[in-house]
Amino acid sequence: MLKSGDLPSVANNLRGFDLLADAVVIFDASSGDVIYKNSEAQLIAAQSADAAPPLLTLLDWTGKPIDFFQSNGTASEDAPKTSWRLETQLAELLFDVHVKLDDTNAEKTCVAAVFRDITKRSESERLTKELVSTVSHELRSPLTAIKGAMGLIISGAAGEVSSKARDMILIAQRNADRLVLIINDILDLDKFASGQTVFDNAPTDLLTIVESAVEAIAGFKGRFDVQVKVDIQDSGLTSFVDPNRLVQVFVNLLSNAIKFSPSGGVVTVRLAQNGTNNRISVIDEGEGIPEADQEALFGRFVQIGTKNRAETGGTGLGLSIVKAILDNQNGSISFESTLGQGTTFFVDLPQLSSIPTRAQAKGA
Amino acid sequence: MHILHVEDDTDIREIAKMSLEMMGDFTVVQFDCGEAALAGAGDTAPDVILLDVMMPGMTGPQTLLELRKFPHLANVPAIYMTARVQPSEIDGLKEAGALGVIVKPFDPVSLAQQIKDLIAA
Repeated sequence: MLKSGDLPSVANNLRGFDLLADAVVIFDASSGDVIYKNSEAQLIAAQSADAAPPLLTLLDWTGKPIDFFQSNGTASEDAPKTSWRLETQLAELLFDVHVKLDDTNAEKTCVAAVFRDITKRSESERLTKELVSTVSHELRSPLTAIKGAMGLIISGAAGEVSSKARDMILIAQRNADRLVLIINDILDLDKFASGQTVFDNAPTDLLTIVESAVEAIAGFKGRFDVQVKVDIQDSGLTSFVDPNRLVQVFVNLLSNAIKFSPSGGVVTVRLAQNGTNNRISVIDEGEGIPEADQEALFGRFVQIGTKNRAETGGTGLGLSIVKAILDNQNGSISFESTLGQGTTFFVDLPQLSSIPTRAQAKGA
Repeated sequence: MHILHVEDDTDIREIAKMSLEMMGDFTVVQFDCGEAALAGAGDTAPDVILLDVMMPGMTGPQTLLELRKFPHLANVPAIYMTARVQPSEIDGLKEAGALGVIVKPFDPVSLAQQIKDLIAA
């Protein structure tokens, strides 16, 4: 294995790294002395003489590789992480840095750092996100005109409409409504992904959340012959969450459960403790989720089961949004499903008493 | 009740006018941009100012700022109509002197009532 004392032989063995587009630097973990730089690393170091800090300085900048390995001396299972994004303000470059520790030699510990320049990729990702946001907003103007015109015709403001024409306009209006929902969902996901969403967390009674969600879907539920029951197994469940976002989670889960329930079916929302978590389960008696579809369930534009989206009125983004919200709230979502019997979604959120205060977290 | 409406999209202007006149008995005077609104504002006596936010040239907030310089428009309630639905943006518009914000796509049947409710609130 690699030892810093073996510099000549190491350098010979590492010449293959010169073929890489990534910069590779190997250094002594104790002293921080560079043992090896591949040709890309030398190139960047040379170019960076004027504009950007040299690579070793980049390592120092993070304060992590050298400090971490020096203080630990050996690899540790609870190592915080071995990769991070490094932004160099001077050259406006962005690197993904991956670090690997080699402590197989008792005398010397070496660290290999691989710098991947992701400046262009990052810019491309930013432009894509911007495009999604702009397109979604721009779609709203024509949709305003389409929905407005149809709304006025249906209301009779533009004159009498035959029954057949009215049916056709209602179809168009329903689909325009779906398009609005899809755009709203895309914008929501975009906001979550870009970290623009500000969560307004507060100690929140979860029963209130469930009741608000049930109330919010009352109109939607009216289109289906499905009952919604709330089953309180443990009362007084409280979590530190954003109430509005949590209502959004349960509106999504409940509307899914209702859509996929058989006529005359019952959807149950159960509140119970689950270890140190509060667990809210949304239980339906629907057709269940085929095993083949389960893996992609939280992906975007996923269609599950035999009903198409036009039939269910879904956007295919609801569960992605649910997961994104819960990820941001230190929560989690899981499910169990049996074909022909139904599906249960479990939402777990830390109980308020189990959430460490800032002072406790620091003192730990 | 008279409305001064500034909106760059021709179709949305027409739908809003029809909706407000037929559903709310409003009299609507429309302009297709902020600059035109400023040029014509002296001849209007609106009870409400209704503005799009994103427009080529002057934006809605810039237009409102200039309209406020007309003494007869200084205290007229202003309402924005916008496709920008970020809560922070809506809060910002309200803080900048708007009575309320109506989100696009709006419902043409209830638009007039929404405006009346905002004024009454």
